[in-house]
Amino acid sequence: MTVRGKKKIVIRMDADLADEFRKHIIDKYGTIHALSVVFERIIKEYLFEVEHEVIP
Amino acid sequence: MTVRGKRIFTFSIDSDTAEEFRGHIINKYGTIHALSVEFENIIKSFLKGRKKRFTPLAQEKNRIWQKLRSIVDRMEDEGFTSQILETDLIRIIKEKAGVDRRTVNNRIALMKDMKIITGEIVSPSGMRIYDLDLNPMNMKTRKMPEILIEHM
Repeated sequence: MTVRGKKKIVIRMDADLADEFRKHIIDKYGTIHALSVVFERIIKEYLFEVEHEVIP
Repeated sequence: MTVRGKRIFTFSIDSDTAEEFRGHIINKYGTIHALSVEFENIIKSFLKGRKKRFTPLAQEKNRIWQKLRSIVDRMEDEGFTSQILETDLIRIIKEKAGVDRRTVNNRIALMKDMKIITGEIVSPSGMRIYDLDLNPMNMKTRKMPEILIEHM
């Protein structure tokens, strides 16, 4: 994280997908508090793939 | 989308990443309004390709959760009335897990403490069992997220 701090993002997601994602986080980390950290990691990986044209 | 509709997610991310992501969406779609759609796609592919790996703390919490659930089930079978209350149990968990523990050794100590807590629940003297929603989420404490982040 830089000195510029954090920015809040609000998204709307299909309820079933949201439930599945929520369950995944709770199963893996034991709490929903890891949500933002996981989101940040997913976005970073995605941007890296886009930038480097990585084929998954 | 199913008939169940949409759900709102709010989260905080590093502002540089947020700006980069915003720029990417605008470049790709010409508008920021595609943000949620792009997110849905990203999360879908993430869940599709995920590997099930659990942190040690999550494993421990799940194990404790299973144990607590079986205790409550057994108590209900024995005729205890279900009530949703803030119990001594939750208070003890919060107090114990809320202790500031940062090193690896201390994290193990925290897990051991939680085991002791489950032992206290089993003890018959002064036991108060309620219909707890024993989801691991409800075992959250102020210090727990920090501990989890350190695990990542």
